[in-house]
Amino acid sequence: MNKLLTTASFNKFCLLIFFLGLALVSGVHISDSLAADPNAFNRLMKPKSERNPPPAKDGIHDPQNETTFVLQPPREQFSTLPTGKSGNYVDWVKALEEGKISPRYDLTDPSVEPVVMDLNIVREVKGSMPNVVYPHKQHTEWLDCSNCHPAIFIPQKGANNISMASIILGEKCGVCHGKVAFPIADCRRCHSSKKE
Amino acid sequence: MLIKRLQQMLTSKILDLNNNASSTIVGVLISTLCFHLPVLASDAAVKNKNLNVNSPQDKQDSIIGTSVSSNKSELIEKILYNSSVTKRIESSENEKAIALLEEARKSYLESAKLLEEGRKDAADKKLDDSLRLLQTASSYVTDPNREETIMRQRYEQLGEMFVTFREAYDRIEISNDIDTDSSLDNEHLHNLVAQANEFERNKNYSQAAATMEEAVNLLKMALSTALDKKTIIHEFRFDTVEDEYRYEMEVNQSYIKLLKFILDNLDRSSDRYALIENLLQRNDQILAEANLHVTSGEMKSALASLEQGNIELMRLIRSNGI
Repeated sequence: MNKLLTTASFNKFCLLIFFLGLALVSGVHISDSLAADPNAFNRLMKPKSERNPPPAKDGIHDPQNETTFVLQPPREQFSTLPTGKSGNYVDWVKALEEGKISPRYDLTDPSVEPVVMDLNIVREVKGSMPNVVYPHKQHTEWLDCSNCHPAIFIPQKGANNISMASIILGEKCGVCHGKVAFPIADCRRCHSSKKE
Repeated sequence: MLIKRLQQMLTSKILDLNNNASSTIVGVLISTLCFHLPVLASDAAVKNKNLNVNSPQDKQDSIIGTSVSSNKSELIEKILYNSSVTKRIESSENEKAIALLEEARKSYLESAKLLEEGRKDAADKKLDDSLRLLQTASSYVTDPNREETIMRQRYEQLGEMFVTFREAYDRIEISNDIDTDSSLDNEHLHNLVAQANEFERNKNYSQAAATMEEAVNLLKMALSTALDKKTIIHEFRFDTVEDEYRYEMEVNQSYIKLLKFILDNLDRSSDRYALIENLLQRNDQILAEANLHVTSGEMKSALASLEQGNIELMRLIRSNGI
């Protein structure tokens, strides 16, 4: 009987050690993966619950400054805008189309209208991914040509070498996408033209 | 020591202010003083605590606090009474700015009194008020030198944009499928550029920038009209194997850059770190191999090696969750 108890206790002890070891190993893995989150730098890829925090908690505004608390919290403002699937969950293009927002094009002169260019650039890509469509219209409704040309993109066929790695590192499209425009994880928004 | 160095640094900035008045520098100084000094003070406090383990903490904090406040006070005194910014405000006819400067000086004097009484927190608050008032006063009076610099830079920037858009327009004009007839008044454009250059020669940068902007806008409108509702296809096609090799090489470099970024965020002892490092070494070998092919003129083999290397790197990037 005593021997049986001892064997049972030993088995329990082994089981405990096994689970402890398992917990430790998985703990290490979890902490490793958290520390090495490759997308940690991508501000718009935070979990949904952490998106659009109030100004004092967004890491941009100064929480010591009283006027920070005067600013409207994004979640309150965004509640009236069309929703998107990623980023800050606002479909900004739709919001502009529907007239829900009317951003000022010129900082000093509110009467200035944008020079909208309705031009699509289809960029063929290597491999099986669909080709990329770059719509100038949606961009020029917000931005001036000089925001991108010539510093980020040379307006000439074949003059720009773009790779996903460079975008992830914040170059080319990555100057805005993943920072203030929708994140690059939303592949099909750009890779939208099927290959023939 | 740290504070002393900062003081020297700021004093040299003040001397700069005397030479070249700039409201931006005042802004930078203000933010430096308001936000960085307390941080530097606490940094110094930590260092001092380590050096003088036996001295009472409260006394230590108090000494450091007073020294920071008095340094800050001296600097602000110099800005308020002996800087080109204040001279600019005083010599202007802007009553609002002059009144604000007076208020700033008053606030400074009050802070000096409070500091003498040992009320360093209240003194510090008054000093910050004084700086804010000075900054507001400075913003009411334009700095002509700074204005000129901004306008000159704007003119140069617009000049670059003009060249870029002109080249883009000329390129589409040459292509057969896009009609650019009557969308651009070349003579008017030419005159505008000539005028802008003339203004620039006469150092009238403000007019030069405005005229050049008009020229750039004309080009933008012409481009917009010529390309309206068009689709341009950028084919994935290379004229020569050398071009494709160059493309693959640039892709390879961007992958390496990204993998090194991933490495920087990984624990050195992790398996993943070792795996990435191994594959980066393997990539070096592939590059060397490809280079050998290039030197022996076997471009197709060089390209094939590089492409294979890029596929491996891409897999590695994807396996790391990107």
